[in-house]
Amino acid sequence: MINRAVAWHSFQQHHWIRLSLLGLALLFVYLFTDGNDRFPLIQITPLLVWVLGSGIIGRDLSSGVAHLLFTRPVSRTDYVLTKWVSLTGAVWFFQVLVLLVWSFGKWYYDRTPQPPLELFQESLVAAWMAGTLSTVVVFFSSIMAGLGDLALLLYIHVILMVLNISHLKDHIHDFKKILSWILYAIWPGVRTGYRFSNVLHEQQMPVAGDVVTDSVIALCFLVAAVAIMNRKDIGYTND
Amino acid sequence: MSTGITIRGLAKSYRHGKVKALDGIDAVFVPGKTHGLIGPNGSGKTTLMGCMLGLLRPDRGRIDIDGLAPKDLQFKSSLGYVPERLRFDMWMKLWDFMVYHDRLAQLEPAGRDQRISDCLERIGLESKNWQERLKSFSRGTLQRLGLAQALLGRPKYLFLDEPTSGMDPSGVILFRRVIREESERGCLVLLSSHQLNQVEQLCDEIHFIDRGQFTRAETKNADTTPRVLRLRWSLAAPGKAKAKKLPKAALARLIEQRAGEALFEVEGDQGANQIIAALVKAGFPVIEAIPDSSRLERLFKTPQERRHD
Repeated sequence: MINRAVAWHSFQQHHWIRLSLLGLALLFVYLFTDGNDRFPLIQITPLLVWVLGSGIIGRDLSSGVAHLLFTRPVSRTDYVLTKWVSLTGAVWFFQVLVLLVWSFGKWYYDRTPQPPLELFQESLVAAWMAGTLSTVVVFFSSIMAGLGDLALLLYIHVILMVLNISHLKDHIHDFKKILSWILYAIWPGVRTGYRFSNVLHEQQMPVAGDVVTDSVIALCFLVAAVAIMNRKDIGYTND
Repeated sequence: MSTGITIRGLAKSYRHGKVKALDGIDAVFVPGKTHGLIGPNGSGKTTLMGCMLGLLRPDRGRIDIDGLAPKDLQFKSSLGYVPERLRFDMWMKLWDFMVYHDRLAQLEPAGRDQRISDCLERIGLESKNWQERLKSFSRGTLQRLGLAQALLGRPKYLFLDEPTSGMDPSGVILFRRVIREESERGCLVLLSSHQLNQVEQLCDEIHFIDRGQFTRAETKNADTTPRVLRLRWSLAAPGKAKAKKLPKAALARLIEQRAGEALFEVEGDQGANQIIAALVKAGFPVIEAIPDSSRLERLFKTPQERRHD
């Protein structure tokens, strides 16, 4: 299922982006550690997914690299799944790194080391969030060439923001709730992330129902990405 | 036992059927031969190759590759492909690129280094460049690299889309040698090119494609197309040539005569044979016969273009 050559290749791509992102993430963590009791997982995960994952498939298609790749014995389903796993892995790697820096900061400022079990729990939640959010970028990237996924997602967010401040909310019942649900559907995992970001540290694990709902939405994104890639013409017309 | 590639009624269109790229292609490509695809720009060569590679989904028709579909991974594991546009991962080093493709081709890890070295040396890429990034290479070097990656694992099928555009003369000569070697090994080679001389030199069968249809197929049999032939004979040779009138032949017509040479319009190979034999018999020791154009060039021209010439 997972093609190791494609996974390693995906991980090696765009070193400089990852390195610069690492610096940003560590600065972010440093600024938030002092006086904060919570690990900033919810703030950092979408950012990581967005920056690391934009164009993960679309850039291969538009650059023409996929043209040669698919003449090799690599199925398109395996390709999409490999891209998803490699993105999840890359995001999770950074999350864990940030988590460790955060824990060190807590110990440095407050002299209150985080228990290893909590760290383990946090890293599990981080992995789940990375997995669910990565499906979104993989899906949008399978639709749009180049960095079009980034543009499309930004476009959708702008539309939602405009609708949010429009007068429609006065005329349509529960309009804001509808918009929130659209946003949650676009970013499965965020809703769950918010939920455990706002509770006490000991109760951070998300509610089972939320995890299931978000996982199902994420699975739909992944299945749709596979279906789209399997129907796509890969030729110079995509250039 | 390999039966090669059989195509039946293949059709492919773009823009929701508005642009017909392929319109009912039927063809058989047998193994151990080099097949040429020739046609003007936009005639459907690359689309046909794209369908055969499993990159494009045909609207209708069937492609059978030794009982396998183009999307079958078993077919792809015995395929080598050189794309027309060299869209490689330019950030990669040459060696890493070859390792990546060796791994993608799912070849045995044992002997990988040796296999890659052999391919690169065969294509004339020097070892001092193996650790350089692809972005530092010229188009010609990238063409060689494209061929090197296609040869990994001794493929059963070799598809080449304009493989020598941008290649230096020594690269072109080397390329021809490699393709001949691969064909002799039993590989089915499919070559799409605009370079008529190259196709003529390399291919056993040539398919002409225009507006998504095969218009004709040529083998290395006798050429019957009319052409102009410049014949030169030795003036230094003893005999009666200088004094005599040029002989006539049924399938050849004299256009122009100069000292030691003459232009004839001949009807195919037979006409050329007739006039050369007649000249030699009449005491004109023919030392050179130069056609005005290559065989494929003549075949490629429309009757109107031929008349215009």
